[in-house]
Amino acid sequence: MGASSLDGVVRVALVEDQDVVVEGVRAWIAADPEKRATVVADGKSIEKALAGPGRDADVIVLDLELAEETGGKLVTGRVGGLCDEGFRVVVFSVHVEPLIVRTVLQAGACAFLDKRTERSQFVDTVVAVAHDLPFVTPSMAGGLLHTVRLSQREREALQYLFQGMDHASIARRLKKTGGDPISAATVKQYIERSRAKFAAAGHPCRSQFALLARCMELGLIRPDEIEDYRPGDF
Amino acid sequence: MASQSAVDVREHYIRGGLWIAVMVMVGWSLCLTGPLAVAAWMRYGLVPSGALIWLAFAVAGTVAAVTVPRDRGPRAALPWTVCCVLLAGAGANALTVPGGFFSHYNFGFTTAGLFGLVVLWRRSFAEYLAFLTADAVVALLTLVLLGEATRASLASFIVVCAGGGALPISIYLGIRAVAATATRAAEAEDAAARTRNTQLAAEAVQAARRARYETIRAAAVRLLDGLAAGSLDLSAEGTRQEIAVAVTRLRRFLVESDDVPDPLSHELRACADAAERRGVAVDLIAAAGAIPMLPVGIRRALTEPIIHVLAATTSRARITVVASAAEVAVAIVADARLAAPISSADDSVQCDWDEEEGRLWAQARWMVSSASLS
Repeated sequence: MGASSLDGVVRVALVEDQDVVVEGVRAWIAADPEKRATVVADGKSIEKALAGPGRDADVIVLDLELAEETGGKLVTGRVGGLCDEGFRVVVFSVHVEPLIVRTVLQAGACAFLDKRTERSQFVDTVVAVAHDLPFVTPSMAGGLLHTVRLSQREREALQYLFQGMDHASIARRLKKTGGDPISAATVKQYIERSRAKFAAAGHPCRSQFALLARCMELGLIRPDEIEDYRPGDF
Repeated sequence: MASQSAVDVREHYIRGGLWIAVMVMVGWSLCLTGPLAVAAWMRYGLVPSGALIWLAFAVAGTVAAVTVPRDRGPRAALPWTVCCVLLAGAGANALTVPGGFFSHYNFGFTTAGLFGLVVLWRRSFAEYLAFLTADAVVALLTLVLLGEATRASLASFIVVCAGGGALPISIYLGIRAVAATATRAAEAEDAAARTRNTQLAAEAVQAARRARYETIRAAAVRLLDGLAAGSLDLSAEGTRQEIAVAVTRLRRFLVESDDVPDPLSHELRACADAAERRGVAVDLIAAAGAIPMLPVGIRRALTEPIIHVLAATTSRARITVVASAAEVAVAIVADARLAAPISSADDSVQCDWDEEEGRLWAQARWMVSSASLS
């Protein structure tokens, strides 16, 4: 748990009650050509997944719909507790409604992954979260819109990401004043800066502080800017 | 139940009548009883003159003139307290003035009736009549106490009662009668307006149905005619897309009049369903932000580009809505190739589209016009 315990391979604990999804995630992670991650534990409930080696996982991948936990209700209420304990939580769910996405992100989740996501994005997200990087998936973009004060460019970039565009496509649409397209790196910066602003305004927990600290290292946000962003300013 | 406008009309007349009663009260006090009290004061001194009683009446009348117009409902304590002051004043005035009960300095009895009209203006006629009766009883008692209760004076007393009560009762009942007539007229006008509105609503529904029928006819008949005549080439991609657009439009039209909280998402769901029936996997993501209520014309303009792209989609599409009170953007990303450019059917909706490596992005964006905001 925590970046200091990383030895190069990201340890993942998977909380998922469908065997086929567990097998799928294991296969996805095993198929990563760079072998950047490994599943150290899985369980049909949060307690079972974290009972053994899962307790020391770098990232918890959490399905929101666990029959054993709440009898079919979503476990959004458990996300805040896990984050308070210092876990980095990646929510992995079919419930991609922006309201649910926003709720779990505000509770401290580091990322939200649509279950219909592609393999490479799954592994990229888990690895980025383990390294406290401000990774934003298209599902997350919908939840981040209308939450914190964003610049016009940040809002447009998030909106295009939510619509399903990749960074290169977004860059083609976001033109400079002279009419030239901006770079994909700049788009990435807009999106990551939005994520940093959201982290500054969200639930205070270890993973969010680590994410903010990383954003400062990367020059995405300055400490004096953090005071400005509060939830409810939209 | 009377409509609000009828209630307002009645209140308007009742308030008007109250001001008439107040003016009568003020005029009576300043032009008649005031000079009498001053004359008696000059001649007999302060206490026997009734000047103090006149002053007490003036205070009571001022309290009533200030509080009653502001009060739309009956107040329990204040009017009856003021009435007690008036009755006590009437009794004291009759017992203390020089010249006896029928002296012209004994103004309290008739003055109380006029002041009571203002005080009890918001109360029922029965209550006002009860006050006038109490005033008459007090006056009769003073007549007896003064030892003036002869047959002739009792006859004069009855005449004074009838004369003193006629004016305030006429004002009270006359204004009520006028108010009732005006209220009935307002209710009749309201009923006529409701009938006109019902008729307009029925005509609007009929017109909307006719427009829907014409739109559906325009969407389907040409294609059906082409199929029947064998002039349509079903193997052509353009024809297939045209049919898919028509089918999706029909599904959208069918749900346009559904009573749902979020009609735009409901219509997009219908469009997505039509595409899914053709084997396209559609991800319709819940809207980011609250979608404002939009007229059907705007909703059609927002969904039309989506329908065209879905008709051209090979296997997969993602539909998103980003909304705020001032803006709604409906977008689709799909593996599609459009046969013809997309254009907007409404001036307030802007359409954009872009193709890149076999993936097509299209967006229909509605924004509140600056005229609407001002």
